[in-house]
Amino acid sequence: MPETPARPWGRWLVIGIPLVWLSLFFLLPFGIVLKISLSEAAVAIPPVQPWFGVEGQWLSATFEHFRLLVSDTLYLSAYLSSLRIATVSTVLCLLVGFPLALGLARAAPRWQGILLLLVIIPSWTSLLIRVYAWMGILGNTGVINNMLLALGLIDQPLVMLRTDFAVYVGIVYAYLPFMVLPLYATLVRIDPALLEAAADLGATAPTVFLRVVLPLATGGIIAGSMLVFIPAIGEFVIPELLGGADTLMIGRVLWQEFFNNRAWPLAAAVAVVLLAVLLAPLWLFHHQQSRSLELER
Amino acid sequence: MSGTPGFLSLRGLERRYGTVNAVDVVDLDIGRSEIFALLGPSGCGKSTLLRMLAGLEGIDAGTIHLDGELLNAQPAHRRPVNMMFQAYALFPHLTVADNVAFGLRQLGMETARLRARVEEMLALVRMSDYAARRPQQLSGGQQQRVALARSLARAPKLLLLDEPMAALDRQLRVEMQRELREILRSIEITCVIVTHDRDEAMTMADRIGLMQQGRLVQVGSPEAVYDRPRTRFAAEFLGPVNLLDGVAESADRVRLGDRLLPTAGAAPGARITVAVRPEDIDLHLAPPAHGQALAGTLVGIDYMGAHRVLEIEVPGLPRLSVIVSGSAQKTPPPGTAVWLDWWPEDAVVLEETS
Repeated sequence: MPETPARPWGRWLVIGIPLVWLSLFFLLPFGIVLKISLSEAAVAIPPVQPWFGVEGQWLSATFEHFRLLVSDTLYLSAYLSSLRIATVSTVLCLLVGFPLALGLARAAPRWQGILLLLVIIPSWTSLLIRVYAWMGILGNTGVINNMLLALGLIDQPLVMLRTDFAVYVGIVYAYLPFMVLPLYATLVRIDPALLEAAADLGATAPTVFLRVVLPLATGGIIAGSMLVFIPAIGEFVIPELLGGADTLMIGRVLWQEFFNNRAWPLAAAVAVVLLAVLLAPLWLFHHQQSRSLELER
Repeated sequence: MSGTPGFLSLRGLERRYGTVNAVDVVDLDIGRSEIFALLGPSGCGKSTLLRMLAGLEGIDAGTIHLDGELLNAQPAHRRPVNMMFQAYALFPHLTVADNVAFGLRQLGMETARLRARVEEMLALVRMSDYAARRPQQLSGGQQQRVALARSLARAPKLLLLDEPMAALDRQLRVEMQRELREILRSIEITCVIVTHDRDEAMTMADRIGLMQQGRLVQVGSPEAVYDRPRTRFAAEFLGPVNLLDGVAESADRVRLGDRLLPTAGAAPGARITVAVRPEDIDLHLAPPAHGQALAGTLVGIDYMGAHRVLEIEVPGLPRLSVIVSGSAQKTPPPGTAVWLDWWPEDAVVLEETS
């Protein structure tokens, strides 16, 4: 009798390893967060009441924290403000990143590797250090203000640090590579003959861009936007260091609830709702990916 | 040749890359409704020349006139010239109908007329049933038809075809060559085809321009270029040929070894090379009465279906190929002594002797 090939084993391994990984490091922790979000707060270590075994009640789960998220406008405005900051940052990243990616994709092939490296190299330094560097650049006695003062263009320092402007600068700066790389990957695959064909058929340069380059780059635009938008919405370090006291972002709220107020269940509820908010763009991202795969087939 | 000469007129056209002249002083006149093939090996400058006509490549010197109008300064999107690209360059994000409509949209054509024109073009290439498909859902031959419809939609004064058959497999190629030629003839469009395939050039074109190292080395009808090549390169590029070095005895006799063979238009006393096509050589199994045939030995036979290629060794000359058709039984076995001669006009004196 012929031996069964080892193939099914390999297949199970290929599916199984990420499955185990995701269960262990995503589903399980998420389950714990979800459980905490549904628990009563307590003065204890950890500051959460167990679900079972509390006298008088057989199950002490509660939706009270989620109710608070809806009723207290602080949370709603923090979510909205985060959405706004993440959206604006994503659009800015796109506006800065697109020409950059286009330049990369059109550069001579021998330069492309080096130029790509230049895009990536900054992220080899810790984000924290790079954000501190921006504090040095944007501060009242920072590089920009000192230069403008020395040139006599202004007589009072411009207030840039601790404003939303600084937050945008920080987010766009930090997440630009995540926008540029997927854009570059799609743009470099556009056959130059398509652009020539469009010009040959009477399209001016702006029309070629709008009708050919942009539609063919849709996959990269969506991928890059998601890679910026999703982490930006929960960003904590950048608004904390560059933002003002009134820069309201959900990441900061979460931090304050968790560490300052020790309100674990509330913080957990904030995190769960954030994930739910992100499911929509994630689904869009996934949908686009499978559609572009289909198109290529 | 059909049409009026000089509808498309190139004068002293040049394109340089560093020190290399990709296109080197090309002068050419193409008539209205003429189908002209630029034929040559890869790197000979034919594609560069085509791209210069389209406006996709700069011009370093010379002029391009189309229908009396100077094209030099016109950018690609303003020229009344359209091109069918080598791999068709169909827009993958648009349907077949939208691909064809692309050029019309740039003209600002109103919707009803645009739709009618798209339908007309798709009908012309027999692709009406595929209007809603995407290019990647079509076969190579279907993609070619769409590309043709797209490049014809704006009714260009000049149509450029860049290696139109290169992306098709061999069987389909012959079929599409015929069909493409029929379509181009039916709409009487002036057309320049770039190809490295001599059969394609000869099948499709009214005239062929043979290119070598950026220069147009010979221009003429397919018959003229095939039957009367001017240079060794032209003779060899257009098909199998026997090249024989000898000395001209008189205007119509060349000495090859110890025999005098017929030729035409030689300068007496000069060292010359004559080109004789394998199918123009007459094979005899007994010495002809005139006594001036090349005597040789049959050394090999290649059966090619309808005809056979015989390899014949003649002392003092390179091995000759002779094509014979007709019944296979008549082919003598290898080792047979044979005699070869030809008609004077079949031995063409080439310009270079090297």
